[in-house]
Amino acid sequence: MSLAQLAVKVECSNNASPQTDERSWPRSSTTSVSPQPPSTAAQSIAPLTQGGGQTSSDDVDVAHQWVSRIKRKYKSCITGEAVVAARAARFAPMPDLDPRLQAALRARGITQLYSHQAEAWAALRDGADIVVATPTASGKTLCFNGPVLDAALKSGAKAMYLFPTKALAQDQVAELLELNRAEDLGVRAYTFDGDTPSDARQAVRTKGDVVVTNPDMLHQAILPHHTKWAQFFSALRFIVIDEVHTYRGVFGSHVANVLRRLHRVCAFYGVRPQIICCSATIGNPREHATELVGRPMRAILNSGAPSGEQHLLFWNPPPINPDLGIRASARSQVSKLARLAVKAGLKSILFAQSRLMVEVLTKYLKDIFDRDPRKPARVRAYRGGYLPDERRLTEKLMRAGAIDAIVSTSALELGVDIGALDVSLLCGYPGSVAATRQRLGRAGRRQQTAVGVLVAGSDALDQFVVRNPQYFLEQSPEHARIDKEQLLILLDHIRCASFELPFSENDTFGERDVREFLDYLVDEGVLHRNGSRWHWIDDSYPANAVSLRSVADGNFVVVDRTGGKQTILAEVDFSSAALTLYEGAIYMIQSIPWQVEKLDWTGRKAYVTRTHVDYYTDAIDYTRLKPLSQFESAKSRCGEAQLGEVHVVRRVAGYKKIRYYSHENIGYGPVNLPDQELQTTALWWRVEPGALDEAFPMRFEALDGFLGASYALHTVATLLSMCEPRDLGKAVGSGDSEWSATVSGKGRGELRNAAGEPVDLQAMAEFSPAVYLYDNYPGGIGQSRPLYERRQELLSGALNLVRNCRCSAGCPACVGPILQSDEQRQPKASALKVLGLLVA
Amino acid sequence: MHGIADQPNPSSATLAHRLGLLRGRDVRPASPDSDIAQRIARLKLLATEARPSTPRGDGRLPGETIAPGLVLIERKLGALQALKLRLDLPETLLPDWHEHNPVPRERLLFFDTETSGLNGGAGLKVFMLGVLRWRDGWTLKQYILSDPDGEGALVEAWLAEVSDQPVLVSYNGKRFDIPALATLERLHGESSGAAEFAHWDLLYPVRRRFRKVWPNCRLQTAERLLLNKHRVDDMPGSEAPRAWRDFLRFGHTHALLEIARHNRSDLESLIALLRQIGTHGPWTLP
Repeated sequence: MSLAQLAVKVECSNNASPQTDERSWPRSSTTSVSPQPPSTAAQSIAPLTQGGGQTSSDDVDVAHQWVSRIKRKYKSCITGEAVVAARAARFAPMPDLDPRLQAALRARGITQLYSHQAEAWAALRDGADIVVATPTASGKTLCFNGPVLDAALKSGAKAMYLFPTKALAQDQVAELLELNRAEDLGVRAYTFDGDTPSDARQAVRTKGDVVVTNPDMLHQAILPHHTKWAQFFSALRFIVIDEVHTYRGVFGSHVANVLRRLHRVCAFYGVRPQIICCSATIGNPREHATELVGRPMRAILNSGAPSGEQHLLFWNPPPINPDLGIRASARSQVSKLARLAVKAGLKSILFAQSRLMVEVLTKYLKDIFDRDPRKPARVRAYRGGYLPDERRLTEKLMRAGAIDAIVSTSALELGVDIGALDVSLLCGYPGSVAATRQRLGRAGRRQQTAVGVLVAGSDALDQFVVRNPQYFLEQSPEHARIDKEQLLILLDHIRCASFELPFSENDTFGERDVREFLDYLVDEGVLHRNGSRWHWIDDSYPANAVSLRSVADGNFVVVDRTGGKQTILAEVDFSSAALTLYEGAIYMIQSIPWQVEKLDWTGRKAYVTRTHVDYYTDAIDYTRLKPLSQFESAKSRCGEAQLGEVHVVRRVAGYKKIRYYSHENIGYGPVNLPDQELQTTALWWRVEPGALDEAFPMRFEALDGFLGASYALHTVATLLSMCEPRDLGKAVGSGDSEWSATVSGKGRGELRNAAGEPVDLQAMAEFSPAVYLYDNYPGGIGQSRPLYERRQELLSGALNLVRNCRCSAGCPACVGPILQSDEQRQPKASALKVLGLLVA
Repeated sequence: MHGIADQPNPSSATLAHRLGLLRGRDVRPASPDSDIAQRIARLKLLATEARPSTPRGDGRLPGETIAPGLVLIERKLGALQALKLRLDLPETLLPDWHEHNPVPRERLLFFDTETSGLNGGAGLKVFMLGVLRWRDGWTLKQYILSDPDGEGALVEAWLAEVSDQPVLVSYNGKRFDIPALATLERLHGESSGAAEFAHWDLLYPVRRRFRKVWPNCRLQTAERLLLNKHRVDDMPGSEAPRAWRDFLRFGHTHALLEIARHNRSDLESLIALLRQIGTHGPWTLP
């Protein structure tokens, strides 16, 4: 992701503050009114003018009544329920602070701390590095703003704040300015991002007490120019890293290495700033922050903030064809629930799994609530790809209470301030316990009852969760994982670090010995070694060549040329461009359809025109793999399991047109786009051709079995490695990349060769399929090896999943969807047979 | 957690080989004992890829090694040559952009750096610093890093050169050379304060006057159109990074000395340019 894509337009703090005024800072306060109103009146500032429009003080009843009514009326859909009781606040006295800060806090209604805030302050006073992992809206920001401002006032100490997105950074600066203004503290907080004008940068560098930025800016603009920041670094006391749970996978591995570079530069200026991390609920906050930051961290996990009662419903859409395992769609259920909630006067947030689904859901709700174009919209969509202005407007309308339902992707999972909500509806299982909790947590900042409904989709993971609600409720949230020793990532950052400061003989990078890397870079000609030091001698600026967010770079812009003029409508990141911007695609913004007429792949532009159609489009893609090298292998009953490196090619072959409401398939179109390639680590199983021919008289049955087995293995692997489904790829193909298999639009397994042409299954001389699970990142991110080591568990889990499924021949909950016409086939039985062959 | 990266495995023992695999350059499975073979093959490949096209030179730099890694080439320009090159600057100068008292030419310090790149940042190396001052005639000093470790000595030399707070004269020095030198100073814990000195950056008057007339305002354009100076066999400054790298890596001196010649030519042009535009009031085209 380039800096340009991060570009969220700077909202001048003066403009931003009126909205954040009442809301951002005392976020804790909005929920601080515990069921038994705290007699101390601590933190309970004057009743906030929540923007809720029709919502009033008897909200509690409305949400409560609503959930009771839903439970009565749709009993058969509800597979589980959990109620989180309201929790009272635990307070601690305000420690000794600079009197001006104390006054400013008092002016904001804060005279005591929640217990976890006090704990954080005490730990910092001990000199510890800390990670605070408490729920949404528990007042995490005060854990760092207090000590930072106190140190700035008392000793001129400086602080750097890192937020994953610009929007969050700007929320934060607005909040700091607000507190600052309350007592005229004179503490200067600035954002430093791609939009900071060059003439203002000097002032930020030399005058900023708190510089709020993002990891990308730190990586590309601050660290390589650290000498310009010498004054800032020399006085740096605190580094605040918010939303550390988002720094996982490839992005997190990059950020961990950027932090290694930051530590190096700090050491050069003779400082060792304390680190304060904040995290949403994840399974391993302390371990993750320790790994990310490279220092032992003290964890603060027990929130002292109060919270209202929370109802959580597990919702399985009613069956339409039980034999085939076909149910009503999650989409239809979510839009029904949203209709009911809006009609009851409740504010709702809907989370969809894809940008496309956001648009479809928005359209369905707008068709009901926004039919009159003269009235302001009550339903809005929010997702990545919208231009910053559009998103800021939506946030503003949300805070003002002007929107009744907002439909979003994971974009609103983070702490973007959108005001208080009553109902959170999840269209499909987000893929992880942590993300589910985060999304459900978006409803219920006030003392009132909040309702969350997890509506399951038809695929295996969703069905597993909704049929086993206990599993979900008992499961600890996922562990955030990074692999900061990932070879390519590590090399990239050692390169950047060498540019920033020369390495000497005994230097390490974090704990890592880097001799081998430095010698490699000498061979490459970018470093020069003189005795004990390695100097950068190349003419390049290495940070420019390294993007923290993705491998391939270059965002696509969507250009509207309806009526001759050219307007930029949206931006799409490289990885999803092939799936959403092919020629013929219907691209939607706020559910208004545009059609892609021309895609300029090298120029990174898609030209669209406004259209009026009753369908949307969905890409058909398939994946081919080729093993490159093998690290390990083990015999199985009739073949072997292997771990190694593979080359993956992903191709979008065409698209389907799907009619609104009926969801029937009304046509196909071809797509001609470059393949997307990556090298990564994978584990795979093969079966000896002889054994396979013996087990399966017909090859198509074996193929069905492999496809079904891959589906089930992928589901179980996702649960075992506690990752998100998209982090792990699956594929079925021949071991030598001769062909790959997919489930075609007709629901049957299909083979294609390297050129993308269909292959005749029976005509092949030797039929030797393999099933692959791979890290969906270049170079791998360390998931394949643990899965390889737990392969027996993986296979028996998949066998159980398929064997215990209640369908007859196969369904989306076990081996993947099958079609009515294919009932005579037995994919389920075939998959069981294949899994049996793979077991050691 | 530990990824596979830090667990050595026999089938891909070398870093370069593993990187090659990840990048899809070498897709052959490695055999377990291929370590040394791989390394040699890789080195051969690198050697052919990186074979420089610069002539080698005789491997020696003229001048004197004044500190480990730092060479000084010092020479005086003859009076006759100075006249030929139009370096006959008056004893005091008062250009129209200078608001204070006239400046004696001894106070002027003409300078120009050659660097390892143009992008700036802490990794930018100043490998050549040319300084020209009037000391009973023009004296040119060129400091050349014969090793990056000589950087500290270069910073010291620079601090000594400017210890009398001279008036700086440069072409685009305000935006390029001074920040580059300031970066070095910081890296070595020093500060010359040169950014605060009076600084006649001749790019600005030239640009003010000719921006709309000339195709560009580069120094060589000004030389051609204002001084009627045409360089012969000049190695362009853009070759500087490679010249220095080839010197460090292969000991080739020819190109580096060509860059020194280019650096000297730039400095001489600075004097001639100042003579042209800085000595008699509001100035016009010759």
